[in-house]
Amino acid sequence: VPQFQQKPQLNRGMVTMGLLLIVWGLFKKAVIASELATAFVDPVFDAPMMHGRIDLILAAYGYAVQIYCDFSAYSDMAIGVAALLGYRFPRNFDRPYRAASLQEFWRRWHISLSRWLRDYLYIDALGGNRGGKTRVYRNLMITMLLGGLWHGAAWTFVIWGGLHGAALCIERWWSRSALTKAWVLPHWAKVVLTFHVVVLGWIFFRAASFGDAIAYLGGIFAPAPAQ
Amino acid sequence: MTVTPLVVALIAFGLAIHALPWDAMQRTAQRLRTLPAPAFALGLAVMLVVDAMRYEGVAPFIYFRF
Repeated sequence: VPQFQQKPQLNRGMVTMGLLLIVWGLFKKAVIASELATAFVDPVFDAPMMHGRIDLILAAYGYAVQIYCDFSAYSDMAIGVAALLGYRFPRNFDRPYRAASLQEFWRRWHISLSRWLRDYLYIDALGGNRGGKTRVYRNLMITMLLGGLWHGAAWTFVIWGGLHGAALCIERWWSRSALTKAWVLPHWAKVVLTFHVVVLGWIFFRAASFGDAIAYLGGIFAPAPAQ
Repeated sequence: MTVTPLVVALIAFGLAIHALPWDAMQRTAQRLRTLPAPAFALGLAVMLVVDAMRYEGVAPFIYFRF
């Protein structure tokens, strides 16, 4: 890291930015993420079969907000502490739920890990976009599956990574197919679609087990029992 | 159904603050920087008091698990 070769430059601007990021992170973590988790998301994910469809849908959205507020708070506070020590760290999140594609989502979410996976795994180790279509799709799948396994040795993380990998492959195929010109989605629709694919992935990511994730999705998508 | 108006408000508010650009943080820091030192210190003191009063049962960061 080049900054470590020099004496840290601390000024009032960096102190102010550092304090602001720490307080903002504290707010996102302690007020939004924590309250959402304890009041709603955790009870629903812990017993998905005990809750109705509306609860399940809202808890999935709630977890999307919770994990963003939790993890971006963690990153903001780390960047803030670094600023108080005189170091400038890049931001780690850039409004990820405004992404209009999965590829864009991964340029906006956990930017440090995404770049590491892209540069060292996808490009350096696997060859990136070099080679034929099949090889590129294989590289995308391997990168995302390993990205999932990086979070823990559980089927839920493998499915989460696989879902993102498959979605990235479909997106890549779609963007290069003739259908793209025939059927153009408006930007807002792409954002909504991307957000819901991400939320679907979060259900597997958050569920205690693969069985719980399936029960959760069953509760959302299964037809309501006849009265 | 266990969802409450507070939960819905938190989800909506969380999505709204998510949309704040990084520039907004930099502009706020710029404004705070121009505050006189006593006002800045008072603001900090208020934040520390709020922090001391917050709910004690805050769970560890999600990423501590990984």
